Amino acid sequence: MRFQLTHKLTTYLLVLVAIATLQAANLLSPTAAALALAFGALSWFSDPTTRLFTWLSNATLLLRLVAAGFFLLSAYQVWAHLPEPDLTPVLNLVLFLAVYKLFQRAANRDYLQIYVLAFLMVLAGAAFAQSVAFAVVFAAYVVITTWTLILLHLRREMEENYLVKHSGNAPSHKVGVARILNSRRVVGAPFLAMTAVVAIVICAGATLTFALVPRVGTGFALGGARARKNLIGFADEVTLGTSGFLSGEDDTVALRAVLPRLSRLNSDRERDAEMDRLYWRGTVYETYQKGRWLRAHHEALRTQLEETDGPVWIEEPHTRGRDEAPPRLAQLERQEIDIVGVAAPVAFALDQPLAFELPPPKLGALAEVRLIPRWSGEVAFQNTGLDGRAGDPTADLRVFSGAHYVAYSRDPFAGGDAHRGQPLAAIPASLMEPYLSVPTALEPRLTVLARQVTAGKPTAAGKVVAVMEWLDKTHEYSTDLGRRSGAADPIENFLFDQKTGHCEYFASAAALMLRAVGVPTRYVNGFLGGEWNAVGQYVTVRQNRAHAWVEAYLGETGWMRVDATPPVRAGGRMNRLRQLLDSVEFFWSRWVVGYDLGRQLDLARNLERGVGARGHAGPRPAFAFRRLLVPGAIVVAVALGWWLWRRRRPARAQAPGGAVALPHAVGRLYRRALEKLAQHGMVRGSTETPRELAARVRAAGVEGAQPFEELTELYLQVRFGKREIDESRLGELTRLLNRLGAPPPSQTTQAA
Amino acid sequence: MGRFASSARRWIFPRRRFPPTREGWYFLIATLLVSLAAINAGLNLLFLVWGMMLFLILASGVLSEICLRRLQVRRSTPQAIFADSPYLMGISLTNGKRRLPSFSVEVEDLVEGRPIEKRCYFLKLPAGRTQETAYRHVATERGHLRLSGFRVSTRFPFGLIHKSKDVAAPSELLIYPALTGVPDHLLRGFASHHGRGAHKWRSRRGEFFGLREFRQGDDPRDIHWRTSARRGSPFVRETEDDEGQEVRVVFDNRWTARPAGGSAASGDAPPPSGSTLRDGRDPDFEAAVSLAASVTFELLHQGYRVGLAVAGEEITPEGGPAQSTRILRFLALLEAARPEAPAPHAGRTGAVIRIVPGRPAELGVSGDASAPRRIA
Repeated sequence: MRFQLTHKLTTYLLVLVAIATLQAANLLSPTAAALALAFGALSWFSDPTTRLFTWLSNATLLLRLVAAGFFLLSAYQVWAHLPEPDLTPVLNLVLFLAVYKLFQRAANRDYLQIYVLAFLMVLAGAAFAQSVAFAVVFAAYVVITTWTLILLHLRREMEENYLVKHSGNAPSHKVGVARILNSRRVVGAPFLAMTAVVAIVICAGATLTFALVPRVGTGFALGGARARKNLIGFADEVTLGTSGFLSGEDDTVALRAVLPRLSRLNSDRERDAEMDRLYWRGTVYETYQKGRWLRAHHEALRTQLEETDGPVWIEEPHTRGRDEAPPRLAQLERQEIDIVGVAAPVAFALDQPLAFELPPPKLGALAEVRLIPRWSGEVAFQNTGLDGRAGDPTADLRVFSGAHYVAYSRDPFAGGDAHRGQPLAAIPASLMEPYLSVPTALEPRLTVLARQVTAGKPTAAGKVVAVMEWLDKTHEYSTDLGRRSGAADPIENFLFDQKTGHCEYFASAAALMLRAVGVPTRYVNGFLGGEWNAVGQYVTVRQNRAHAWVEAYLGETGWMRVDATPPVRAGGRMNRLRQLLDSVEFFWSRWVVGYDLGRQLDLARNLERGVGARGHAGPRPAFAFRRLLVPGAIVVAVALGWWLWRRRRPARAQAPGGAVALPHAVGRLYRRALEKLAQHGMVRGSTETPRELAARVRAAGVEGAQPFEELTELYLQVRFGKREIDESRLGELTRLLNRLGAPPPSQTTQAA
Repeated sequence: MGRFASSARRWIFPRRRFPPTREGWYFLIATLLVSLAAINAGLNLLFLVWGMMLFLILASGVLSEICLRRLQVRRSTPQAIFADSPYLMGISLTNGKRRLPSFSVEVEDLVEGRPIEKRCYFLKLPAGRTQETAYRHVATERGHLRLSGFRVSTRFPFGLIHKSKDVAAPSELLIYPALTGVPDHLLRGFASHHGRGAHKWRSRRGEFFGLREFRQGDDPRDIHWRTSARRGSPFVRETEDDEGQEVRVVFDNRWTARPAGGSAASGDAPPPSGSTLRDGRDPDFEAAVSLAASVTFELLHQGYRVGLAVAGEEITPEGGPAQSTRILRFLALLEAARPEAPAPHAGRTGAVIRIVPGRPAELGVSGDASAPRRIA
């Protein structure tokens, strides 16, 4: 392949891969990507010898003005978003400059600038990427960078150094570099293959660096890239009609969870049935106000945290049953959760979470993550200094993507008659007031309706069932949110007019109706269900599984989950390929993006256990040695065999001075002697006989001249006279010739 | 065992220089910045980028080392090198590796361990191949030019590191005096070609005269191979031709260095004992040597038989290229003699060109050694 064409092709591939890293990190809008690719393709035809290049060269001033304008615009956009700068204008500027330079490829300096811009794009991608697609494009980037840098270096050296030997009277001049650049002999498929192997080694080295460098940063306590999504629905307030609608089509992963209980199930049918019962509790709201659910911020409702040596236990003391025995961890369902795509610092867990375990702070970190209590049994994460003081609250939202923790939950429907709550009458009315409040404007109509629905149901549980059945019978599930603009309240509209809506409406309606008949309720946002990944043995929960439900207080039964939404969502199961891809993403998210000191220590411990180095009280397991012994022996045997084969292989290369290498010991010794002499500047001439060379060596007075003369005679006799040699004398000569050719006390004179 | 250990040590830890290039420094700084960003921000994917940069540097070191391994360098020196005249030094590079080519290799000659700033560049040297190139250089002074070896270097593969190794290859070149223009008055009166004379003289042209042993300076084309093979040592064929005019160049090298503000000539105050007059490279002396070499070269080229006489030494007149070599080699190493040294002998008959440093050259006819008579 022609050198110049190869260099150009690798340059374009490099830019393409750099754009792909931005795409993998979701940093590039489709418009920007399309424009960059289109203009980049056009720039392929802009070579220094083409008309397009000439035209562009003539329009250099105009193009520079455009570039300056773009730069100023980007600077303004960045400044406008301070103190939280938006990097998108900067990336657009870098992309613009890269495409601009592609049109202006003339000298090596231009190529180098393109490579620097591509590198900046990769850096940006590395800072923000979460997807495993980054790994693929990064590997491609390493390979192409290796090729490109080598070719750039060779091109530069050609243009700076190439000379041709001329006759003594003519001046030297540079050979036409264009001829060399168009040569096919400089680089070819073997060259590219060899450098690709080098690039693979570099990739492996990069992976090793990644794995081994301790994560002791002074930055964020939880590693991983910053999340850019801020899913609406898990903030301090929820507006009806936004969360569910927005996440309905979004199948990006919100979290992944390992549930040992599910792993133990044998059939997919059982597992699918269990999936529909996985309610991932997130945020809880107490107050309804004109289409919005808000937190009451009532101190009496504050969740209480009890820190122990193990997990942190959460509870609601105002409603805790007095007779309830403290739960044990073994009785609870353990979940190992990785938050992937949720930026809000919500501690998701299966309903009802009772305890959390957080990873220890990074060695050397100045901050750690702690649980902070919210209200109504909700807890969240917060970045705090090691002295316990809370960090910048606005920093919280940036921290938690990539969070990994363990939660313990209790199924609220299990446990039979356990008294988890107190009778309603035993609780001060002021404490339950937030859970019973109904907006004044809604109350008359709502109360009438609720009483009608729950007529004849004296118990709270009966009322709950009645409301659920009524909603299921009279209302229809729909994600279409076409509300009349004149509607006073969305729930009123849902209940009395439109009668269609999604989970938020069903949950809100149920909550308010039950409040109207004296059953305390609260509104919960979270996720429902998930997809089982058989490859990785975990559950994937996507954004489109966002769900809302109600918790109703049923006296001594305590708070119980009430899902008033009709069961319209079919449980989805991923196909095998999707499972595989998702498990790769899971591995990537946990072991790359979320890689931290804890994982490094785990890895080291696993390696230790695998090798069997430590951790065994008794005798070292023999199988660990066998594991290493056999592969090690094979490696050593292969290396030894290769070394022996190389040593015994007959020499085919021509020795300096023209001596034909012989497999015989004398021939090999003579060849080595010639090499030694050549190192000291005494090269046997093409017309010089061995004896003449020996005479010259003797005349030069170098060390080892006399043994060399003897060796020469021996060599001639063996080669031409078929004489048998004395091995011991040969060994003696070998020793005497060690310093053959070492400079004599006076300099040798090179005849001019 | 000792040899094995030293070989192993040389193989594992070869002596190399590897300073970063300018781009290499930029790359190192960028690597450092990326490492700080990765560690500070805790962004795991930046560690991947950092690792890539570190291993690019490592790969650069390894590949450049592979490039420089098993390379043999040889010189092809020109037959004659004159001071102040460009000469081409041939450099041949052999790649002794079995499979791997070497890319982007530069070779420089070393003079007393320092490169002479003339690089020979080899873009690609396939395995087992040899390539030749040359560099043009000008020696500024006559005498010995001691080449200590070669510096073989490369910036391959990425141009980040300039790795080099020095290869010992001592060689000594003899630089002849610079050839200058010969004043017309010195050559006036000499026939441009030799005429029929009463005596024969040894010449490359003419009838076969006989065989004699090869002497240094003889033209290898005159070797008689059959006789040489039979005798076991080289013999050359001699021919005879009409004797041309004999010219003797008398160079009075009894010279002292010019004192400050004054002039010096032979016969002035002797130099301090033990001093080396030639180290001072007196311009007048060097000019005189160049003139002597130029006159000799020109007359020999015209077919004359030329001899050279200096204080205490002389070369008998002869003709041919061998004589030219003899005289030029002699003049290349000529040093100033002390003033008390005996005067150069002008010979009994024939033309004499008398050259004294610091004075115009004179043409005369020898007969009286003390005062040559000017004939032109």
